[in-house]
Amino acid sequence: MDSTLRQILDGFLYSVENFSGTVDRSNPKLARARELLQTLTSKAEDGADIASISIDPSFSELGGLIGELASEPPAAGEEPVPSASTASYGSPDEVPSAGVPAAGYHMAYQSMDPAVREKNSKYYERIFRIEEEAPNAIHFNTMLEEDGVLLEMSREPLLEAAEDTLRQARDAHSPTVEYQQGLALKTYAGVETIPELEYEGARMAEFSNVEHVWDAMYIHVIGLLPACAQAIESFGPGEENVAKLRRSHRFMADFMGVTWNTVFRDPRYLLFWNEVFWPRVPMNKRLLYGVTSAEGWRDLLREKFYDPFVKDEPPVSEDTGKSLVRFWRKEYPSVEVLGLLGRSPRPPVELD
Amino acid sequence: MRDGSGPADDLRMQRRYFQARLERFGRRPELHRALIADCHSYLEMLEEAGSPGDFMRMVRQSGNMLSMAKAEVSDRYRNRAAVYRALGQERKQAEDMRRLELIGSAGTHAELYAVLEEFEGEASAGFEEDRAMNALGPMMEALFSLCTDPPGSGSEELSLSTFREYWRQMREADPGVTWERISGCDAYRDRLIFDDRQMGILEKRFREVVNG
Repeated sequence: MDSTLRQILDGFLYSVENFSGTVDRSNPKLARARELLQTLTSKAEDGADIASISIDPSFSELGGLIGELASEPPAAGEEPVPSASTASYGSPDEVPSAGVPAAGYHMAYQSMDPAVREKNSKYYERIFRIEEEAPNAIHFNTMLEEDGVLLEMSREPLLEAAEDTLRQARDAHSPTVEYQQGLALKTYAGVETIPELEYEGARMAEFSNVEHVWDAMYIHVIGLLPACAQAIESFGPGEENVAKLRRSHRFMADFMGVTWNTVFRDPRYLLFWNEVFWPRVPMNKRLLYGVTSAEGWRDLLREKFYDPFVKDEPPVSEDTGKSLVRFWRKEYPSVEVLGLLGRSPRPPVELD
Repeated sequence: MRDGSGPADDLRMQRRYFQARLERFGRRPELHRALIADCHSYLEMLEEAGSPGDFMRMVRQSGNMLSMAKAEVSDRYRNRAAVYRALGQERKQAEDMRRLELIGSAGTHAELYAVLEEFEGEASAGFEEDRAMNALGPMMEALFSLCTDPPGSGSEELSLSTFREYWRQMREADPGVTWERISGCDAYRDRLIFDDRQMGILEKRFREVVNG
């Protein structure tokens, strides 16, 4: 029998025999587990290889039963009683082989589809090398802990995902996603434990969720005046559209000290306008108006669809005293928004 | 497989296992409070144990490493509760605190996972808190739009119906929600860009719409 397969079956045997000391010996799941293990061992002894054993339905059923047996109520007053054949595994005085704790890793590795297996082979090869070097289970567990391979196995997919998202964020020109993923790369690279990885992941995701909706609202509010002009360009200077534009022209000056000029000096809005809005202006419209740039579209909207409708309105003016936003519980000039999103002043988390 | 390990070597390696964990956890002790305490308790056991067998017997008598399983989940939920507290997300924080109580009360491995699983099936406060926060954005954007929609216009009608739908969703998910709560509760207010003066202007419109 293949040595790896032997170790896996030994691992199962160890688990099953351990349960004979913790659950009722007449437990039907235990009886079924023994039966399946016997079947698999016979097949392996008859020459079945690890690949055919690992896809045998008895293999997965046995794995499931071992998991369920871990949650079975213990038999009252029972002490582990190793059987004659498993004395070397069941007794606390005998340390199991490294193959016992490693069996789960073999099982996981074998059950992966080829692409996933190939991607993860560098980790599993390290684990299996440690298994080879370890004289027993205690050494294996310690060497695995000191090696840090399990942390790397959890951390690297997160780093890869952050890199992918960061690339996509650059295309989407989202300052909040860019900040978040940059932070994730830096943070994940420095973590040293799984609990730390979990905590940092939760912390960054929760804060980032708030920033995404905050930024979306900022674009919606600061972009009201161009949105009104764009509505007139798209749907015509109907009474309602013109009235909405005039009311917005007055309101934004009062509400945020914002005029058309303020909007187009706002770095956050300009990023949206230049990189998100303008590229989506249809080609037929660009040709119709002879406009070839984001600045050209801005000037077109202002000259043809904004100024003519507000020229008789009482003059409005910028007011930097009113151009404020509240971000993470503090007030900032709205012109600073893009910079703030790139170095978010997130409130601290006070750990007990 | 390498040969040559004996009981003394095994005990030394067992100690090294907990020391290695302790060293990693010690870098940020505030995140690993329960796990650090747990490592110390196993290291104390190892001091008393004369052989790996003794240690295994002590581990079995002390609950088959239940304390380690409890420490792992305790640290996870305590740390996450701190994140929710920082964000003012009270209901999610309270749910994690409840998970910590359940973890504390579990007497076996099976009970530990059963109580947590059962709680996942019952817990809905955090979900409702998310629902209320998600409704806030579209509700406030509709309110902002209502400040400039011409009276009687189609855009006013659309903004009103959007506002009412999301305000209904907010009240359903957070029955105690009021304008004061939106302005004062970090979970809501952190999502809004408006300073206090701007909130005052929006409040006026809010009351006109809500009161009819």
